[in-house]
Amino acid sequence: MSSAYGDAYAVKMTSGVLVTCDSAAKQILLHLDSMRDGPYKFMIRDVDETHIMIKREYVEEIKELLQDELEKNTYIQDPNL
Amino acid sequence: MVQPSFSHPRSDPSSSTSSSPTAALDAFLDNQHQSYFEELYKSEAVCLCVLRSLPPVPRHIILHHLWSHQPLRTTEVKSFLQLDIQTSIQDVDEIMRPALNRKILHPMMLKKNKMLWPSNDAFKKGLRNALTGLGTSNSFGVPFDRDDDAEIPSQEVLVAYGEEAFEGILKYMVSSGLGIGFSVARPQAEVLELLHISGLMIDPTDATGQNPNLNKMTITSKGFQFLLEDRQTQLWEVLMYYLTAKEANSERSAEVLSMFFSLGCMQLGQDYSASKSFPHALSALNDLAQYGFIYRPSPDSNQFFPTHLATALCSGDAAATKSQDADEKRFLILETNYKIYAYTSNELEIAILNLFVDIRIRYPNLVVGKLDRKNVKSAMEKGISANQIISYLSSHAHPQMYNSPPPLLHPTIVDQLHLWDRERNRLKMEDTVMLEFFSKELFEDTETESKANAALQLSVPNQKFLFIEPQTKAAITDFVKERQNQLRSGF
Repeated sequence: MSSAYGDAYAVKMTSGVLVTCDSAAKQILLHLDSMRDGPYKFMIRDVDETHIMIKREYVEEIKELLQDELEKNTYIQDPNL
Repeated sequence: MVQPSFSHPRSDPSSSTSSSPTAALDAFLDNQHQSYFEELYKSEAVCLCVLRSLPPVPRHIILHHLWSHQPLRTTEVKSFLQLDIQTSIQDVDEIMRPALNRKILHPMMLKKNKMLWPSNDAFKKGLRNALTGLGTSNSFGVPFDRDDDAEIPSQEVLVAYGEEAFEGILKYMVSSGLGIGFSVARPQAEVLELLHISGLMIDPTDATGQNPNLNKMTITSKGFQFLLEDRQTQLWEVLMYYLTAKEANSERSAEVLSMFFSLGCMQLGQDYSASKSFPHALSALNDLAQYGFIYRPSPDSNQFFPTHLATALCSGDAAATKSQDADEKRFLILETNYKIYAYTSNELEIAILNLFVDIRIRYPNLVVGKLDRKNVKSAMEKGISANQIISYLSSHAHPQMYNSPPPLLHPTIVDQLHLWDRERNRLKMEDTVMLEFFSKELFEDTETESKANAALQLSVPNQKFLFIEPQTKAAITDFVKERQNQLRSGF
């Protein structure tokens, strides 16, 4: 059955990896994604406050990038003090 | 965001499971069948040690009931515990669960809400003999027939010997992971093989894991966790690895296990005859010598002395074994500014501290260091969890620390350790299949269906997204197609 809107009962399926995290970490991920172009974008869908869906091949890379980003925000005491 | 409560790690059930020092033994025994216990209970020493390992309530009930000829009845248990007579049978069952698991009692349904627990004959006989000194199985060991003027080692010598042998193995494990290189003798090949089989150490150059080079083994994360356990837990874990390795070689383990219990009932400072005490487990006894459980004056002599490692195995009361070396073990002062003062000169303890503490100053009897993010995080990368560090710190706290108001460790530090632990895994990743719907009806039906099949990971109703487990994709697709057809034909 077709209508002007296309099939009202159509369902779209996408495979990927669902990331569950706190909202701060999610914002960092969004930021990382916005820095990338074309095929290097890893985000498939911004789901809600604490979830995003990403491409499977980027999982390990994302974990490392996030750690690096968090490391930048950590105060490290100067050992000479 | 809800702030998690970190300061009471005890309240979460996962951390309380490994609290008992005999956890490894319990796990092993829980997986054994009736026939295995029948064989074990032939030894009086086993009966006594199993009784000691029970929680106080079932232990008392078993002792009360020991000389009775009648099976134990639920009503008796209820009146003994001053429980209401209407208490459900499950509750009573739960209290007696440890005894049922050890096959000391056999459950037998009498009629509704009444139950009989006949006791295991072998156990009853063994325990009666143990208490009255009857029995012929020599399970408490046969003293060695030595000349009166022969010199025997004192208790202190035996304790020092056992301590040195076992700590030598631990030291070897730590030094393999740190490369700080204090001169440690390599333990015997059999010991290293066991460490390899149990997964505490691996040879990183050996890809298959089959033919490790025993000289090149390094410690694993499981090995690091093992190091932080208290001594009693470590001993039982090693013994259980040994037993499992024996079983993997399809050897009978019941005799070896009953030997462990016999050793646990022996007296420190007394010498025993190996061939008379354990005629069927001589080779296992030789193996135990390598871990410092027993001391032999000469390698092939028939005479042996159990060390404190062996005699404390089954004391049933963890506090009693701790008191022996309590003063040496309580050396840590932790301040709220993350500074740690460790009053020890024990190389092993310092090496363990070095895993997660940045050591700044070393005096002959004092080490000063700081818990800092870098070291704690590198320890966590090796597989040590925040809870393990906390339990290590609190079990080694200096008596002075108890003078300040509780909690023992300042919440700031405990929380910070948990936060560092959390930091490592802020992302939870799971494979998924996303379904996007246009129809609210179809979305809701699919949501109900996938919930019923435990396939649902996340549902976002306002955007009509469903996330399902990938392996259920085929089934959910079928459901969606069928439902689509029904809905379309509804027009």
